[in-house]
Formats: sequence, C-alpha cells, structure tokens
Amino acid sequence: MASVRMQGLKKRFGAIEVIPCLDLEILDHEFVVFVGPSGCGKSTLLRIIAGLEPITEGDLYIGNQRVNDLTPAERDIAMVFQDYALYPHMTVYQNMAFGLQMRHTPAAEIDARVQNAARLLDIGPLLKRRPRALSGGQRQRVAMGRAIVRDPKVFLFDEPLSNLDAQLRGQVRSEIKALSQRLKTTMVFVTHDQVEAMTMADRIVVLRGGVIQQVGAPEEIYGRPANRFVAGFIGSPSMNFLPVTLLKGAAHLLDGRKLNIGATLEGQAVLGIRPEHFVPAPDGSGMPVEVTLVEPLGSDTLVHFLVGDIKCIARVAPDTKPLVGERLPLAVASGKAYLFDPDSGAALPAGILP
Amino acid sequence: MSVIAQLVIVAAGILFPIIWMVSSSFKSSADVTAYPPTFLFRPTLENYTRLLQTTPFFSYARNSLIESGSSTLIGLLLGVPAAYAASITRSSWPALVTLSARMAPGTLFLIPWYIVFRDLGMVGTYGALILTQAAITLPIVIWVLLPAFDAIPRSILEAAGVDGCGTLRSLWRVALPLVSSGLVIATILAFVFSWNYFLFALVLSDENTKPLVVAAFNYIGEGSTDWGGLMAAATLIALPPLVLAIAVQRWLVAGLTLGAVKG
Amino acid sequence: MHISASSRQRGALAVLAMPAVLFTAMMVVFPILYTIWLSFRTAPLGHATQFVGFANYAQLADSPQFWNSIKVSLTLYVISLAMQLTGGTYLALLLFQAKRMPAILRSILISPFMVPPVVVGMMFLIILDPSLGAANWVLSLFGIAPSAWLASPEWVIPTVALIDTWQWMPFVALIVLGGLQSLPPSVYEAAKIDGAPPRLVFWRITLPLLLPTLATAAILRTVDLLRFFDIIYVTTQGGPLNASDTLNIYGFHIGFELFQFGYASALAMTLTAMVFGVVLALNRLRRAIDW
Ligand SMILES: Nc1ncnc2c1ncn2[C@@H]1O[C@H](COP(=O)(O)OP(=O)(O)O)[C@@H](O)[C@H]1O
Ligand SMILES: [Mg+2]
Repeated sequence: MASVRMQGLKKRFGAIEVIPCLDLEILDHEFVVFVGPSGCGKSTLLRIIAGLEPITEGDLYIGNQRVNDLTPAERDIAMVFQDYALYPHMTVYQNMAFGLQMRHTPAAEIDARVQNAARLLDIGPLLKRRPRALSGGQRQRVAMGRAIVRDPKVFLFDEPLSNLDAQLRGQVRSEIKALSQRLKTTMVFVTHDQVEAMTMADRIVVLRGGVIQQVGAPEEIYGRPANRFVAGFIGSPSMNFLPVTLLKGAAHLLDGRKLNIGATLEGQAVLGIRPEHFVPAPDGSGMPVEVTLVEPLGSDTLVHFLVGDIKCIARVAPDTKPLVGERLPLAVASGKAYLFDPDSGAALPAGILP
Repeated sequence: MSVIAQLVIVAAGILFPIIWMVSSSFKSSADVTAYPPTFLFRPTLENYTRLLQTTPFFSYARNSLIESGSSTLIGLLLGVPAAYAASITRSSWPALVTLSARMAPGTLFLIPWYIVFRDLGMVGTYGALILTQAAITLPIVIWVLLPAFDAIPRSILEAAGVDGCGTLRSLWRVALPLVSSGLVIATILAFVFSWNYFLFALVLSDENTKPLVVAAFNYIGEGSTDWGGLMAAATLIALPPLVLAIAVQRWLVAGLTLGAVKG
Repeated sequence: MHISASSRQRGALAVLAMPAVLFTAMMVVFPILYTIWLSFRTAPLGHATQFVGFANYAQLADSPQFWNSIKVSLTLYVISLAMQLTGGTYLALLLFQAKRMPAILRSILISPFMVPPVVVGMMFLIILDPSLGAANWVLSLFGIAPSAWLASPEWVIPTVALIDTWQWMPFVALIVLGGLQSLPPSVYEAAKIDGAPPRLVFWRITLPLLLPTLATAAILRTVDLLRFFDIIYVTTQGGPLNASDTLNIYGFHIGFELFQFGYASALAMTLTAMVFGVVLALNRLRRAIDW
C-alpha cells in the first residue's frame, strides 16, 4: 500500500530514447491503467517500477522511499506477467509459496496465505498441479495468486489478459476490478486495449512514444480528450476527424457542405465526431451522406460513408435500416462535436457552446 | 574471475591437444622426443614427406574416401525417402530402428557380419566395408532428417498435393528444399562418422581396403614410436572431419541432438 | 478399378521406405537375430555350430573377467558422465553469460568431437607418454609427480574418462547452452521479483528447468560410454592387467582374437541389454521431469 511517484524519469536503450521525460504520481490504493499503442513504452515503464529495467535518469519513489537503487525484491512489489512466468517445475502451491519462502516467512503463515489466496481465486483444487496441467485461464489465476500472497505495496500487471480468449478476458477483467476493490492495494495495469482501460481504471494514463498524452478518470478521457491522439485512441470505432473551416458557428467541410455545431471559434480546425454522436437529422436539416457499407451489430448498426475522400462511421439505432447507396441525413448530437488544432492536434478549449 | 577469462582458459584446454598434435607433426625427431617438451622449434615437413614416401598413405586415403563417400551416398539414398515416408505416415519404426542401431554396441552386428562375409568371401572387400558403414550412415541420416521433415507444416505438403504434386514430386520439389540445411548436416555428419568409425573396418578390411583410421592404428602397433610421423598421420586424418564440421558449425549440434529429443 | 488417392499415396510412401526397410532387415535386424541365435550355441572356427542352451550365459556369470569388465565399464561410465555433465553445465553457463558466441569459439568447441577417436587416442598417447609427454611436464610445474597415467591400474580409468571428457564435454555444453537459451526470460524476472538470490535461482530455478536437457545429454553420452571401445583399444587395449577392459573391449577380444563367436554373442547381448536398460531408465526419468 503506497503511492508511486516518477520525477523527470528518462529511459534510453543505448541510443534509442524510449521515455524522454516523464512525471507521474500514482496515489495510494489507486488503480491506474497505462494504455497506448504497441511500442509506446508501457511495459518499459512498468518494468522500471518493478526494478527490472534500470532508470537512465530521474527518480522513482514508492511510498516515501526513493527506490532507484533497490532490487525488485527490495521494492516489495508483485508483478503478473503477460506470459504468466510460472515456474514450470513447481506445483501451483510451490509457485505461490516461493516468493514468501525467499522472504523467510514462517511455513504456517505461508500455508495460510496460499490457502487464502487459493480460496479468493477459486483455485483450491489446483494447488497440487504443475502449470503444464492448467488451462490458460487457470495459469492466469495462479499468476495473480502468486502476486496476492505476497501482499505487496504495489501490484503490477503487464497485459495479463492478452493471452486469454475474448469471453474469459471479459470475466477476468471484472474479477480483477472486484479484487482491486477488495485488496485496496495500489495497482498499475498495462494494456493496449482501451476497453480494459476504460472498464477497470480509477485513472487512465494515455501514452504515446513514451510521452504522457493525458491522465484522467475514464469519463474524463472519453469526454474531454486532451488531443486528437487521445480522442482517436479511446473509443471504438474511433472518432471521425474532418478538416473544417469554422465560420459563424458552423463547420464548413472541404466539399462545401456545412454542419451546425455551435462553435464559438473561427478559422481552420479539425472537427472530431464520435460515431455514437451522429444522430439522424430531421428532414431538411443536417448533412445528407451516401451510405457505402452497413454493419449491423445487433445492439446498434454501423453506417460507413465518405466525406470527400475521408472514411467516416456513424453508430445508429438498429431500427434505422439504411441501404447501401441511400442518402442518410445526419447531424451531430448537441455539444458532442470536438475541435482540434489542425497543426498541434491539441483540443481547442471552449470550442463548443454548451 | 571474469567470464571471458574462464572461457579463454577452457578454450585453451580444449585446443591444447589438437595444437600439440599439429605442432608435434612439424617437429624434427629430436624436438618431438625432447623432455621437457619444446614449445619453440624450427618447423619441418620431414614427417609428412617420410609418411607419404614410406607408407601408402594416399591409397589408404583413397580407401577412406571410397568407403565413407559410398556409404554416405547409400545412407542418403535410402534414408531420405524413408525419413520422409516415416514423417508423413507418422510411423515410428524408423526412429526406433535408428535408435537401436545407435544404441547397440558394434560387436552385436559385427559377429554375424563377419561370419556371413567370410562365408561369402567378402571380408576385405570394399563391398563389405561400404555396406557395414552404411549401417552407420543410414541411422544418422534418418536421425537428422526425421525431425526436419516433421517440422514442415502438414498444410504445406497438403497444398502441394492440391497443386497436383504426387508423393515423389512433393518430396523432391517441396519437402527437400525445405529441409536443405538438414540435408547438408545429415550428409556431413554421415560422412564424418563413417570416416571416423573404427571397429567395423578393423575387422573387415585388409591391406588393400584399409581406411586411414585402421592404418593409423596399425602404425602405432608397429612399435616404431615414430612420434613425428604418427602425429603427421593423425593430423591429416583429422583434417577432413574438422574442416567439414567447422563449415556447418552453427547447425551441427542441433543435428546431433534433435533426434534424441524425439525418441 | 478405382484406387483412392490416399491408398495410392500410402503405396507410394511404402515404396519410398522399402529400400531402407530391406537394408535394415539385412544389416540390422538379421544380425541381431543371428547374434541371439548364436548366443545359445558354440561356434568353433571351421566347425558346425552346436546348441548349448544357456551355457554361454552361465559361463559369463562364472567369469571373473566378465564381472571385471562390468565393473570397469560402469566405473568409466559413471566417472565420465559425471565429469561431462558438471563440466558441460559449467561451460554452458559461461557461454550463456558471455551472450555472444564468436565463430572461432564455436569451432573450438565442436572440434574435439569431430576428431576420429583413433586420432584422439593418438594425441593423448603422446601427451601422456611417461618419458616425453607434455602432461607430466605441466603437472611437474604444480609439483605433481610424473606417472605413467595410462599404464597405472588405478589411474587408467580416470585418465581415459578425462580423455573422453575432453572430447565430449564441449558437446554436452552446447546442448545445455541450447537448453539455457530456451528457458523463458520472464521466469527469471519473476524469480527476481520473488526475491531469490542468484545462487538460489541457479539451484531452485535454472537447474530443475535444465534437467530435461541434461537427461537428453546423458542419454546421448550413455549410449557411447557404455560401449566404450576406440580410445581404449588405441591407448591401452584393456590394460594394464585388464584395468580398462570394458565390456566392448572384452567382447572384441573374445570374438575377434579368440574367435569364440557363441560366447562373444552372449556377451554382446548382455552389453546391449545393459545399454537399453540404462537408456530406457534415463528416458523414463526425462519424461518424468519434462515440466
Ligand atoms: N531491451 C530493449 N532494448 C532496446 N529497445 C527496447 C528494449 N525493450 C523495449 N525496447 C523498445 O522500447 C520501446 C517500448 O517498448 P515497450 O515498453 O515494450 O512497449 P509496449 O509495452 O508499450 O508495447 C519499443 O520501441 C521497443 O522496441
Ligand atoms: Mg508491452
């Protein structure tokens, strides 16, 4: 149970700069998710916290202690690896007990903790098995069990769900979330899957190229993305981006059509609209688009169309059954248009009237 | 002590006997018998010239080449199709027989071979030596190639079948190119092991068909203790296997080991 | 008549395997059967063989020289295998830590086991020669008295074991190195986080995970070591005083110097059974520890 603080953190692999300079504070008991595209440095950051990668420059604190020079063992953290990293020659019980044995915990206490974790994770009957005799989901639980028994200051997870099938992933996701609320331990969770980030996190840290793009609660990240990258990364399907000229509250598209969004700014901008924020327009208003593809998902329907040569997607109610080639008039839900600086990509403040 | 220093010491220990053999082969008879041993000496080719002049070294070398070359060829001709068939049908007898042939002591085969070849009047013929050495090379070829064929995804061979390749053509046009490095290893290992194999030729060769290893052994036996000549012979005999092995060093150990992991 | 594609394919495959099958039948299976048959007969030179039941095996059991050979073979086996596995593991760990394997180093490592055993015997004959050998001279630098290592009944087996270890330890090392390289790195990271000190990591993680690889290496070496022949035949011919008279050397002596084929066959069968027994046991062990 402790906070984790990074100050002016830099990481280079030889000449390659992976983390240019990073400041971040993770609060005690907080569930923080690092999310970002593959290769953005999430794992590196997590492994730096774990002590598996040396810090090139800057400071790392766990609690009030500067831990730059501490070994992973001394940092009192536990980690769940992407491939679980179970010891193949040890039973489930031995796997969970090993870390405690290394800390010279009395045998009776080891047993109590292992049994307790096994109960918590529902793996009691597996304790005598070796990892090879376990399914992927069971291995994943053992890996979590190994972390739980240690009762560490911080839990670190490196994409622990990516080797599970979709259904199991959803289930374990909610279990981890429930677990975190029970254990009340600081958790740092790395994923490239924005759904995992949204569903589990108290706070999300969006990374790109080793640089923090935005830190915030899931609603905040989704509702007030700091820039075009965050806006495009969070949400599925991605936000649509259209270059526009703003004039008198309306966004003028390149092909001359216009959308009324109630903008207060004027000039060049990039208009961002989430697919779910398109609404069918009453007759005569809105922007008619020509449907190029229809993907019914059951709960709703994705409508593809082109604006100029930019591919866009709208998410509409399933009873709107547009046909390919049909012209569908669309408008933007009130207050749901986003504007970004065309050069920097930064969200334009106060761009939209409430 | 640093890792590198330890490695250098071990490598020196491994290299020393070979260097000693080679350097002794270039020592004059006074230098080679000197005690304490001489480390700096004036190299001479006299051992080599004497060896080549006083012994039919070249004809032994030719024998070795004929016997190892032919038995390697037979091993490949029989072993490649057999390994392929075994891999496709997932039948285990070739692996089993291969293992048995590798595990059984040479004397187990040698007694019947000797009796049969004697009755056929074949003792001392190339035929007998090539056939018996092929019993060494065939298992090696299967040993190396079986796992190599097994590693080819079945779907590739099925695709070849769909594309109209018959069994033979799938082997020739698709499977063999995919195991080409295995094939090279198999050939070299078969040749080297046949070249090095001592026991069968010890019993079944005569003066005219004697391979180098047996000739060299007899050379020791003559009690001449012509150390310089002996080391010259040893160096020359060891040279072909060393050159071949070093040429394929990267894949050599995998070739020697894979078959065992399957067994 | 219609022939299905798959049965036609099976026919083609059978044809492909046929030459090897015939060759194996002729050169491997037939001799084994023949040897079994011979082991129950006497086969004096120039006379027809005669059935003698288990007499050859009984003779073996009564022969002190046979028991001596068993003892010699097993001693040589155990000493050599122990040296090669520990030495090979040590060398493999060095190579693993060094990270890079320059071609020159790999060439040095593979050289010993590519040299013909006869040549290995010859090189060690000169190195170990009591009057001019480099070995005694080097040992004298460390204050060790010179000795005729190959002519000493108590030293001959360790010496031969050392020669074989020189030849095959690098091979074992390369196999073990392959094993080390295939161990998942994340398991080591997990051990770090679990707080295991390096020494414990070796004993509790690395070594157990390497056991299957070591068993494989042991099987490969067992096969050669139990039927040890070439180097001994070249250097000592089983001497001095039968101190290096392995089963294979003894069997060769009985068969091809005394030409007692029946007795030699019984011996060959016994040796074969021994090799198979040990290999099967090791293989079972390997399966049991194949995590
Ligand atoms: N040991 C290493 N040596 C060199 N580059 C590395 C190393 N580990 C990671 N990188 C590089 O650092 C970047 C970030 O990697 P990583 O943290 O694994 O990304 P993520 O987990 O977000 O996918 C990548 O470009 C990767 O290639
Ligand atoms: Mg990663």
